[in-house]
Amino acid sequence: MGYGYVLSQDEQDERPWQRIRAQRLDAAQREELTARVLACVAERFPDVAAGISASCDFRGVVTLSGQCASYQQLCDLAHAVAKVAGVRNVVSDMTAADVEIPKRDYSAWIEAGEKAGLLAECDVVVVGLGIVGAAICRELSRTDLHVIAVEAAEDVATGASKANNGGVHHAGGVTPGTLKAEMSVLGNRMWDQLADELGFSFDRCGDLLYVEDPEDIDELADEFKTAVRNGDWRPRLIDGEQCLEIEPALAKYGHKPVMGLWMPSQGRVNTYEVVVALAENAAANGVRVLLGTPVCRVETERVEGTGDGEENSRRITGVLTSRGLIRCRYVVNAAGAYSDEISAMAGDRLFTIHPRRGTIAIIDKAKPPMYRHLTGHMNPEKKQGRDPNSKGGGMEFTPDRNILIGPSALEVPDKQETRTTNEELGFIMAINENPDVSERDIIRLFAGSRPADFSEDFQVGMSEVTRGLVQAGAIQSPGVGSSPAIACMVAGIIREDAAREGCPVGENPAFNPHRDRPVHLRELSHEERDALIAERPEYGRIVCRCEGITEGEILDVLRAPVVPQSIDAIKRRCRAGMGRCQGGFCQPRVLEILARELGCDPTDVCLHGPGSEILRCDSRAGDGEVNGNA
Amino acid sequence: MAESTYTCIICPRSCRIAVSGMPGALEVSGHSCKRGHDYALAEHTHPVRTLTTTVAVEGSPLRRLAVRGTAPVPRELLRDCLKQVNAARVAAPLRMGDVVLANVCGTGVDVVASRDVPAS
Amino acid sequence: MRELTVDVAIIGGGPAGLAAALEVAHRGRSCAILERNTELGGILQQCIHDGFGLLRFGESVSGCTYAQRFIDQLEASRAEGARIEVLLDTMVLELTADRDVWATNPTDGMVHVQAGTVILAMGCRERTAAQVLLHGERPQGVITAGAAQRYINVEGYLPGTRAVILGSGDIGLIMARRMTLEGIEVEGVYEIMDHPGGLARNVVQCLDDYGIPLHLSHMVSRVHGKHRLEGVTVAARGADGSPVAGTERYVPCDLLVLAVGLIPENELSKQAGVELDPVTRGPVLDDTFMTSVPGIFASGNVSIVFDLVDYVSESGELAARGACDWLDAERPEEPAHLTVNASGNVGAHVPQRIQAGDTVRDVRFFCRVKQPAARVELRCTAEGEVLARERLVAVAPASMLSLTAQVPAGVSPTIEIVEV
Repeated sequence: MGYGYVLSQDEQDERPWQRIRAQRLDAAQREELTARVLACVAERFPDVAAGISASCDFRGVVTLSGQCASYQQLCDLAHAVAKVAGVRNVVSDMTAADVEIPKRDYSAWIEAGEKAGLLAECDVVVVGLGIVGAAICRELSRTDLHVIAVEAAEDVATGASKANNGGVHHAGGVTPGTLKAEMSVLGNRMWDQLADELGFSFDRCGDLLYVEDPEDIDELADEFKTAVRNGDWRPRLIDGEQCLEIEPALAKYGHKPVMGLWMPSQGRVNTYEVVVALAENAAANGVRVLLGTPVCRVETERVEGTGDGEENSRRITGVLTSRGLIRCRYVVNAAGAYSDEISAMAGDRLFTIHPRRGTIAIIDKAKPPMYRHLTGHMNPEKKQGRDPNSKGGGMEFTPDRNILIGPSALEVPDKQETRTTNEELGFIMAINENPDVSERDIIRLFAGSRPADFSEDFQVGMSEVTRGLVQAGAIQSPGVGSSPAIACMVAGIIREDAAREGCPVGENPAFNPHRDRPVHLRELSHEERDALIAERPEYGRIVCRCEGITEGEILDVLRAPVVPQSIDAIKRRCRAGMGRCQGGFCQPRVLEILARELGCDPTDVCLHGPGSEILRCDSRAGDGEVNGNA
Repeated sequence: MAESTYTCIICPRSCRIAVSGMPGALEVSGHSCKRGHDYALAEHTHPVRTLTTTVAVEGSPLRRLAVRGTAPVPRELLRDCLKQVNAARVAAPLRMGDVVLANVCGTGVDVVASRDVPAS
Repeated sequence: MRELTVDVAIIGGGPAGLAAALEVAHRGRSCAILERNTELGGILQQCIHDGFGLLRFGESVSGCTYAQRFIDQLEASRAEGARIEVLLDTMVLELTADRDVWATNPTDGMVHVQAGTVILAMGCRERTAAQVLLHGERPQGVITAGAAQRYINVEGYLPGTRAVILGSGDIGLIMARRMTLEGIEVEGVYEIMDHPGGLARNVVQCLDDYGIPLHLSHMVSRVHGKHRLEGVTVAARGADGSPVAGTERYVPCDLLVLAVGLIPENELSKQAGVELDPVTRGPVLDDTFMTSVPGIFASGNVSIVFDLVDYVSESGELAARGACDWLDAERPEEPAHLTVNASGNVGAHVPQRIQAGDTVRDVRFFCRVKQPAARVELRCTAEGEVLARERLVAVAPASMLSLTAQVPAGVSPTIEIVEV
């Protein structure tokens, strides 16, 4: 028996994210909003307010400039401005006295791209192949649109999609009325079918949050209300006994729950596995995938009779990449940490990404998770001192049941910087609730950055400034779970716009939603395994001992529609090198296979991006005389 | 002549052995066996090192063959010897002990295969 | 599918497995070596350096030669009719407490071995960057010493031009020399402890000979570089394990070699329910080298990380004898055990217990000390009586000590280090 909560009509109707995006301001309203923004800055940040200036566009997007005392203050200030009523979003041109905010230099790519000339023509260019871009590609591959996906890195899923803990989140932790909340709930419901069609691991493990102190019940009830308001799937408030029924191991660890919030919608995936599956299925259905192809300019033309920066004043004509120009009608901006820069290239300064770094530790499988479900103690004291803009992480696990601890949350000025530090390690180890787990059990420690904007909401929609630019940026947590819904939304926007333009989008008659699940030998019975090896002996040769990955499985991923180009790309696809030895034994073997299959010299094989070649040179390159015993 | 100390490497015991006195009348102390005594004396007067490296192999699934000098070479000649050996290439098959390079750098030491090398 | 029935299944064809196989054959029993590599010899095949076999052969040979001599013996023994089955390119996937072994290889598909006894000889693996919690970015150029050794010695490629080595274990020291001789500049070796992790002879011949500095009580506090390693920050290590402020120094390098310790590879042992010793990180063994699961024995670096391969071979023979004795005795019920006590400076040791038989037992002990010490005696005592003793000029954690004692029936022996 659960405790009920009934939505009011107001709560059912609320979609504030739509309201703010529909607002249009005249000159007087813009002036008034700018004044309120500056007043807010003066009140909250008196030490630097004199040096901060603001301007505001027709949508209520505020651009701030001037110098802050520190990078953290810059973030705090921009966040405060984003919360001023009527502010749609914040673009920051501010600097920080304590650190230089690095800027990406596109000039070399522009030069190379201009030299290369025309590369291709198509209907849609999707920029970025993280989980959002890949989901969009797959959704667009249902249509007869000619789609090209360009990814700056050497592989898919190298940004935030590579370094998160793979949660398909319940909706108890997102602010009602945001696009995040809506996408999260819609997306959550799509995963069972997606996993079934694309053959990736998906564990709808459920999330149990419990309290041991009756004083904390209110807080738990609040999260329950949030989940209900957001439309989450069957959240239930349950008593202590029911908690123990759902998760008997709680008693084993001496926990005495008095009340719990059971959210069965929570699921877990390996994000990179999903991205690979989406991208491969999209490619199989006709999307052309170009890896190692950064966009360095978005080509637009002025719409006659409009002024600079006005509504619908520009139109997309193409993108310039390092490998040449691609002409197109639509550009989908799924560039993650760089989505603000892609948007600006297209003439639309809508938001600024401020990377928020999260560090995650992966624990050796020898230390299994304590619970069957994602289970955590709701401790309000622990929440204090956490970044209010980020949920932060806890004890989680992968579908393969490796414990994950983290992530932490730290504002960093550099989008490229994903280093780990002792402080952040300390932070995540403090989250650890498992008495059997210590730093000793960590097999990998990594960090990634969430591409957050200052409104802390997703930016999905047709640009109001540049027609044909479809935003799918600033996607942070719960971006993984939301991505299928974002993809549908983006595809819907393009269909609608194309129909309005008089060239409606047709269906792809050859679309096949299915991608065969790759063979995982470790999941097979002895007989199945034996039969498979008889057909293909490579399945009988174990390359990665720790994860039990065979040469056949590595060859399979090398022969897939999106060909992995590096050691890490192989690891992401089939787990070779992901185990406790972290490639110590198998990296030389994987390198040899990769060189053979790609037809390159072993010294050209990279760990990840260009410049990460594993080997410098052949140790006996000189031509000596051949001696022998003849 | 001043006393010099050597860490004995004959066995894992790692004795610290001191050598002092004039050539012809050297005194050795701190050793715990005859081999240690001889080692320290040799290190003091005429240090030698065993040469081990690899050479490129042709006609084998192996790309490199481990090789070794049949006797130690003077320490100061080690790098020259290596240079000569490293430049050598061999053709498979070979048997452990087969000479890969005779009389390396005129030291009288032969360089031999440390293991068998199958032909492909 | 291939079905095999043997007296002894040996998992791993490195020095421990090879020695075990020869001893089993010597006893007239049948065995199968299941080796995951395409040749026998294990990690010895990438050890081209000298210093192996002093105890076994009375001369110093290279790792490859040490392996080749055993392989030659094995071939000779097989030619004389010994029943030693060798399965290469064969990875054991499952091991049960009933000694059912499931393995896979490209030619046989699945291999099912029903074994009278099993000898674990899987060796060890290296600790990785995550396990020493190396902070910073995760560029290419951070590899374990074993991987560097394989690239340079076996594959014939150089993985960098300027190296820093973290950890002074033997492989790290060996690789310092090896890389120097291959033209890779080695800036220095940094050791977190206050004493070297490897043998003194390796410090002398691999570092001192080439003027490579060894920085004790030092750590790498940060790794720099996004795609390729650009450098590391090194610092003195404070008492709390964090870098001492003001001692940080940036060292440009494109290779960071980790020689930060070895971990016995006991994943299969755990599958079979073998009890592990948290100190050795290998199975709890008795004086016949039998694990806590009757009929499953362990030898070599899977049981305790040895310093010398000669001891690894010896432990393979001890386990083989134990296995054959156990078969000869027609698989006795699990015997009662007495604990082997270790006192004072004695750390990791095998065996951890002895069988409580009714006769005097010849027991071979292997142990390491926790701290360096000089002029000591290694003793085996029981009930106040010294059963065996050996005087040692110096002991260090890097060196394994061994001692043989005749332990009277029914008493619990103690291994101790006494200053003399």
